Amino acid sequence: MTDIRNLVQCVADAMGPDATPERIEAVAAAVLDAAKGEPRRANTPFASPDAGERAIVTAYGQDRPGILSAITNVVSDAGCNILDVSQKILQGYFTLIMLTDLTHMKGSLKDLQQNLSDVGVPRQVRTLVQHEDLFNAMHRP
Amino acid sequence: MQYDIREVIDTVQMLEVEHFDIRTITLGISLRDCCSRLPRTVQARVYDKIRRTAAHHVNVANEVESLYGVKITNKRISVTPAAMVNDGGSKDDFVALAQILDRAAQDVGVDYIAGFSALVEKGMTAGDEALIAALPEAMATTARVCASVNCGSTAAGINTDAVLMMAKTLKETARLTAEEESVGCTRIVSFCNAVGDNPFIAGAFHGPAEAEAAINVGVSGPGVILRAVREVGLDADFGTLADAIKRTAFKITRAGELIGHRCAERLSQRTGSPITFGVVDVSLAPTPAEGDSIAEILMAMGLEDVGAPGTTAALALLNESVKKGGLMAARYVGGLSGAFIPVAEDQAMIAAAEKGHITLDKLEAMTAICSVGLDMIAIPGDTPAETIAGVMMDEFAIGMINNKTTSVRIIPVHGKGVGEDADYGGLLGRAPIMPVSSLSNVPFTHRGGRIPAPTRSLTN
Repeated sequence: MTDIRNLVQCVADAMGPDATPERIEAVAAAVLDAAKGEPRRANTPFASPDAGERAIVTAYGQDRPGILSAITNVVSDAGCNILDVSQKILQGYFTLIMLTDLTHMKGSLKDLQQNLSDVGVPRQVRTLVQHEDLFNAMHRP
Repeated sequence: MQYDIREVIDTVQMLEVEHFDIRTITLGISLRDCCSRLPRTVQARVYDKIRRTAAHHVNVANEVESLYGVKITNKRISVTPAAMVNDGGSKDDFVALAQILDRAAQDVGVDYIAGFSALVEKGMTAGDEALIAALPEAMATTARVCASVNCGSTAAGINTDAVLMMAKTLKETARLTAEEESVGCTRIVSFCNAVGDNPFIAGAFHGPAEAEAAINVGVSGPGVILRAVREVGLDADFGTLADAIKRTAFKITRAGELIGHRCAERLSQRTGSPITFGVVDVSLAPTPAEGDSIAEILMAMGLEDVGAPGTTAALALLNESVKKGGLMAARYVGGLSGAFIPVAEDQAMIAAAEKGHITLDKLEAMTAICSVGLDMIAIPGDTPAETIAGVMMDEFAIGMINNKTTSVRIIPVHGKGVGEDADYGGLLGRAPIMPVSSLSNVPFTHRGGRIPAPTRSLTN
């Protein structure tokens, strides 16, 4: 509330003798609307066409039973939708890659990373959660 | 699967095994509006501006690091060459300013702040002279401040008075920091053709032509390139080898471009003022860590050790391929974008130097085409200032004639000689003391004045 009062004061000061309550209100409202808007992405590279918050969960380590379900549970419990899963097992080692939708994630990305680490570490499995932009940038020129 | 599992594994391998990281995110801050005739005012303004602009720098970098799972190894700050900010100041004023920069860096949580600098290729102002005079004490009384002096350029020639001053400055700095292996000298770089958007310390500064604030990114991945070179194998021809390096460089530069832009975006939002994204510097820079060595890449290309005939050609191919891949991957490529050959910071380079396989002469040759300069080289503490000046003049002549940046970061380790080394630990590594020619050059280096600019500076 103090911020809005300060804003109105600044606008009034800037207008000087031309200030009227209506004009001040109009300008302040415009400023607030602009501030609420999405950050301008026009000049940013890598805006993917179907913009949503998606991440790739990677897990790798020694093949153990139950690891896939453990990771799936953590991801689902965090409110993330699992879009695709791919798994490779080679000479007793496995790599798991999961494309997830973070749009309705409960908690923060750090929480998800920590929770995955909590199920991974005791199983000697390394887990990573990385925003898909990184893979788009590196492998999709 | 929208993503090929092999691509994901490729990226994860780079990050987890091959030490791929963003070497540095450097926030350049203009201090031009901090000028005043009163040194105390300058100091106050400088401190405030840095605190304000860089308040969220480290936090933002940590967030972006977490978002993409790519480590941002260093978060640093560079500023407008300090000589310009306090041009009327005395030597003591500049020492005080250095201490303010040090404190500001500490308070915003960065390990280095670079830009305690002067651009004197054509001549010196009183402020430039005062800053140079202040360097030894400034380095001895700060831990985070990095300094640089541009002594020459293709356009102006070489200011040999400045060169001799810098040589004497290094000796004095070495003496004042003798207790710590003359570590003060590791934070002073002398340049020819310095650039204003280099993100790497110790030579970074926020050029006078830059915007109010800018993020510049240094990407590096010697470990990743090493894997690519090894996969290509020893039977592949040079075209194939160059291509493999290029493709890998493209990928790592793309990561740098993404991460740099995100950092600039978020920092702008948090700070409330626009922070532009500047450049990606595609330099290949080693660290002392295992597998993070440039020398090892050169060896994997088919040389017994760095220093073998063919080393310069190998480095030329490596550097050019990295640049080509990098150029396609980023909108703006800048900074130094060369190969760093810091002797102390590269395990295989240290080993080669200790065996005498790599010498100052070979390192100088490499700077002629691709490396950025004679970097982190320890020499005997009793090396005369004139000899150091001569080494610098040679290096700057190379830069001036070839229209490239060359630099000298050399440490005359007080009280030590050939056969010993200076161990700085951490990122600065260990520098074996290398021999320097003992032939005299005293009349030459004392002539004074400016070596005129070369013909190639007349391009109109």
